[in-house]
Amino acid sequence: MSEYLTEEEQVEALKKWWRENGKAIIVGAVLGLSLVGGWQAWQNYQKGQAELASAYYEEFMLAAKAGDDSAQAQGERLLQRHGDSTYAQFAALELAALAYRRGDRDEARSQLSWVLDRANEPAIAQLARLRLARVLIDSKDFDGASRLIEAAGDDSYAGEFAALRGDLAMAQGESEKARAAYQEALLKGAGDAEIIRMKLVDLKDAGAS
Amino acid sequence: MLQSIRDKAQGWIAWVIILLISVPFALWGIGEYLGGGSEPAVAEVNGVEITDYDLNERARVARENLRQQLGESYRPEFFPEKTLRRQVLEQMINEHVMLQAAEKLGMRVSNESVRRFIQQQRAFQLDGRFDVATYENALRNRGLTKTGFEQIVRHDLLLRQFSDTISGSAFAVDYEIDEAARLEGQTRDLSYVVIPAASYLDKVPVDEAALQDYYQAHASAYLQPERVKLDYLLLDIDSLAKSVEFNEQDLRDYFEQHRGDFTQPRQRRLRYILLSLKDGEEQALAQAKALRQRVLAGEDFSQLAKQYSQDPVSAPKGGELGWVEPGTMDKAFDDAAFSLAKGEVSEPIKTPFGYQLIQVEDIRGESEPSFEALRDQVAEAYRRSQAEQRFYDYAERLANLAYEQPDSLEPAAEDLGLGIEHSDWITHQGAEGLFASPKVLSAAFSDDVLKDGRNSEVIELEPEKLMVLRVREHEEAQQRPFEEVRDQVAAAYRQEKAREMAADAGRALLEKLSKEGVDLQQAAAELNLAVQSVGMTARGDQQVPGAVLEKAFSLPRPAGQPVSAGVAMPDGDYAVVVVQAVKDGALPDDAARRLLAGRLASAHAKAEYQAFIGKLRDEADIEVMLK
Repeated sequence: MSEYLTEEEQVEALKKWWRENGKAIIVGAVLGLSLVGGWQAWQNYQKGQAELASAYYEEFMLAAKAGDDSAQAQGERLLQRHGDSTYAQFAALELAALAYRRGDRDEARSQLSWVLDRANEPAIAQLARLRLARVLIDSKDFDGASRLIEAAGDDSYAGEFAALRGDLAMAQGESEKARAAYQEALLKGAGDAEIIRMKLVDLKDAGAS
Repeated sequence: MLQSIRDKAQGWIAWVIILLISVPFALWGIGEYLGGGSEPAVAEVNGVEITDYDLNERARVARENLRQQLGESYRPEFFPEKTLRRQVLEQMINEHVMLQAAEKLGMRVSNESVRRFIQQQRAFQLDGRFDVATYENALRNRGLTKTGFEQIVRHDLLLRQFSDTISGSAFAVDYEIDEAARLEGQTRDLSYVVIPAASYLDKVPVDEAALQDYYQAHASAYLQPERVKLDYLLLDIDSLAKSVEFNEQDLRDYFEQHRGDFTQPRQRRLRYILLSLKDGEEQALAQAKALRQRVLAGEDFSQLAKQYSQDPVSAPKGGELGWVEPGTMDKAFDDAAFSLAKGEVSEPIKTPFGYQLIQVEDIRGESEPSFEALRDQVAEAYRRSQAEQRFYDYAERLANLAYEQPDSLEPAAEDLGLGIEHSDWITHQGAEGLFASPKVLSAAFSDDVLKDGRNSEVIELEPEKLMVLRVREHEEAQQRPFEEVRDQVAAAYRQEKAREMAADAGRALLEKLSKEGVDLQQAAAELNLAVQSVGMTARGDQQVPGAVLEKAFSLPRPAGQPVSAGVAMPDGDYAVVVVQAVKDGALPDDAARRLLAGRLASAHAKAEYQAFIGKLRDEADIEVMLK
């Protein structure tokens, strides 16, 4: 269409168009740019927060490894300030270990439960589940342990869970079940095969006597 | 047409053209970002490629590490390229999976942490402090840029956060510790009898038909393994030296140029007597003169030195000084020593230590070396020096000729004046001397040499000792005829039968124990065998044979009656094991408990880490293209 217009007519049309739409375009551009800028700033903030959590976590782990008294407080602070981050879940795993080692089974349970509820990553959730089930057996909460183990599913953790199922059956005096579970654990490549074999040998006479 | 384009070149058409032109520029190189690089991929993790190049690089590093760890015992054939690449690729896939998970989980490592880590590395420090130049040098040597290396460190730190978290927070619970202590610390009251197979060897009936059958059944044990005879050229300084030709003038020139090498330094073997000045100068001088007279009158210098010399080191040795060169002693001493004739005794010489008498025992290096007297020595040195000069040139010619004419060693042998040597039969196990070298064996049995009949590459046996070989004769593994191996077959047959008879006797003995209620002592006595009653025994016991111990700890707990079982031992004997009682273990103290708790926790950590990675891999989309 513009082929039929002269140069001046084109300029005129453009000016007119700008008068009608200019404001909207400028507002749109400003809005767009600030959105992009805001998104960038948000991203940077997120990165910064993640790096901060990472640094806190490393410090906390060093303190925990060294048996430092301040470790507990450091871990709790990380949980408070960066509760949504993955590092909080990692810290809770460590806090559970610290709690168990000082004899506080309830605290260990609650930390591990927290991770199990929170973790979106199944690899982390399963880790927490496994450790929680161990603590539950140790606290003689056999029903709780059983529910956890049965809900574990069949994945790369299956060998470890089968070994726990064996331990649970042993604790409840069910040697047939225990034997089957230990054998399954060996088949599925549970970590400490040596001790599982010892447990199986030990079960031989339990049946006879 | 053109005119109209020009007219409108400032109008909208221009913009359309610019837009069209800009598209290819804008997309230029985008292929690189989309992962369409030219390197073939060996695996893909959630769409991210692991390239062949990266794998090769990592496999090379892995092999280098193996070489360094194993040192001398490293043999490339223990780690076939294919297996190694496979393992390294698995490791790389794990890393990709974890790094991608870290990204998804919002895990990050700050620049600050990366910097701190780098600054703590010993390799980048100078005098215990981080040094930028050292750091940059180290990176350059490894062909890395700073950004590239920082990225590697960042990834490494992220990976560590996973493993540190799992291992750091792993713990063992009380019931596990109790159970492990009970089972691992278990002791068993056991006794056993060994029924030796050897005692049945003479009772094995041997007939030819049975031997034939045995030979047929165990044919693979009577193979002549694959073997080769080799032709080879050996290039070293010694063999080169032999072929060096020369005329008298060459030797004379060499002698002139290296006169110093053949010159014996001027030396005298001396004895001396020291008279110190502590009793006054005059008395020392008088005594020196008196002693000189006594030597001149025929007394033995060494006897007088022993008696009168005040030098604590040489006096007990008769004043012996050994061979002395000019310039090592005091000036006055030197002048006297090197002006005397053989056997003469000096006038008393005054030195800062006191008055000294010297006797010259022997003289050497006084005369100029003569070529005639030293000719053989010169010839030997000449040959060696020529051989050394030629070695690298010859080595290069050897490599070239052996490579360019791969079907024969003759051209190389002729050109270099080396003789082709022949080996006897050699198997994969190697043979004596040169043929024990793994380098020689892997060359001899390589596809290039064995299948394609080429000359090998140049093998460096030692520095300045090279070999090129080819296969002269090759024999595949083949069955050895019965007649040739009959004696071996007979021995193996009798051994096997004797084992069976020992085992039968053992089983009969077990029967007696369980059915007739006879005790082990009595049953063993009937067979003239001694019972080993070892009493309470732990799992790791070193006194009891491994097979017996393993059997004993695999038996059920005795309930009233002792429990017994038989086991074939690796040496062919048969053992009957009886467990009378089992006692559970217990931890002696808190320290032992903590130790065990730590060990169980690390076992958990290891298993949990494996499971953790396994889970991440399950969730990822992994495709392996490596064949």
